[in-house]
Amino acid sequence: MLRFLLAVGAVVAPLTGAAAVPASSPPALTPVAVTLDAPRTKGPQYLAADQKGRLYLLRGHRPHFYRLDRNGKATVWGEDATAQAETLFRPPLLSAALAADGHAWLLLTPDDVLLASNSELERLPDTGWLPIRAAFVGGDPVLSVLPQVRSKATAQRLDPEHPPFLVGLSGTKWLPLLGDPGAEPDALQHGVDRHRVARAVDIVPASPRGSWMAHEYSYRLSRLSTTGDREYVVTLAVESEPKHIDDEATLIDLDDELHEQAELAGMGQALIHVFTARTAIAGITEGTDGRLYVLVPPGYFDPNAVLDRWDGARLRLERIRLRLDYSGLASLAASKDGLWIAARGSGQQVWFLGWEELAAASWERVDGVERDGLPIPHETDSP
Amino acid sequence: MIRTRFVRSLVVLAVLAAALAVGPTAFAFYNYTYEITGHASGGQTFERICTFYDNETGEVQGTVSAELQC
Repeated sequence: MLRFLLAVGAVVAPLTGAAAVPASSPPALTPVAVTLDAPRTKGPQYLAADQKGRLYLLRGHRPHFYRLDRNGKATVWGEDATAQAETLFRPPLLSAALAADGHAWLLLTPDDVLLASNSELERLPDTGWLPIRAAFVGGDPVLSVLPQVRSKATAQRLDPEHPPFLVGLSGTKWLPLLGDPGAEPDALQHGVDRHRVARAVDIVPASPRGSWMAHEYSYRLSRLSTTGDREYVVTLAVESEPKHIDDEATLIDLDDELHEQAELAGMGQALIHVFTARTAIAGITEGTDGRLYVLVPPGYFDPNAVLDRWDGARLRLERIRLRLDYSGLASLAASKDGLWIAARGSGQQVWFLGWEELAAASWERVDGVERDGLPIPHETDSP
Repeated sequence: MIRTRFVRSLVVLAVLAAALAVGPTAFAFYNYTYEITGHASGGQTFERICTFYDNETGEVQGTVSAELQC
């Protein structure tokens, strides 16, 4: 029922309009839908590019790995890792990230952190914290974690008084990399989910060095150094704080659905806490032009999806609208030819936009952009 | 009589087809245990959490934070 209502909502939202769009706004771009010849499987998909612009695909809660050519033709990658995943891997897949040189995928499940290379699937040491996202920083595996100490026999012993935000693997130990998530726990959520809103992030390599980091539940972009330190943060004067599902019917339906599922799972009269924070940033990647590309899902800023690009040299944030029929998280990948967008779920759809088409698009400057909480002066925000 | 049964069968098939078109619920869950109190008294308290997620996207839909087996 919920699925049905959400599906209806997805159809109705673009018609009713989630936000006012100026009549003078240029028409939304329509990316080309691409059919990959990799088999579709149950679960999420991740699409990524290495630093040479080569494309990699991962599909399924028990992942299958592929290399993609420029036309989306798939060849199997990591056959041995896929075979080992049949026994080693305990679904679901919560997060995945490709190393910048394309040599490995970092995979996160509720129980394990694994490194999948072309030849093997390796289980990494257990961080004692509850990890929620996987990434690479400076070539090393990195996890964003919740500030809760995990009670597992294999868990690394930790100091619960000083929870980190990012931990990086150094040898056989996970060490704190960054302590402050840069966003406050969300007062509208309960328990661990308060921190999930502040700590779910997407981290991708930046050129010539360092990383970009985007929060999933608030519009907040950070530039990180090679050691994971925050160099600066880009936010909006308005609309940078988390947004929540405010439609009462949807909330009631979600609550009903969760109660039903809890009953089915034998949890009886359990305390249910609906996760209401909405995805603000679906995915990020750095383009071949050195700009950071940011996808905002349909219905957040606009009935359409929104593609932003941040130019760190000119301190300028620009925006176009995209006609994309999907919801929630996505992967962005920059190949030599263009920008690829892969819905995390939503039937595992994939789209493509060429760099030439993007360069010729009518980008509109986003007003009210702040760097480290201060408005960007107009003299530096040159055309 | 046969016609009535045939029509009923068609109705049932139509309902099933509609249900399949909407699709089954995509929720699933995983669970874990974590410590909810510190070490000031030397003791530790644990809480068991079930996190429900959309089985298609992996997005979190909600949590059960009671001390229940899941």
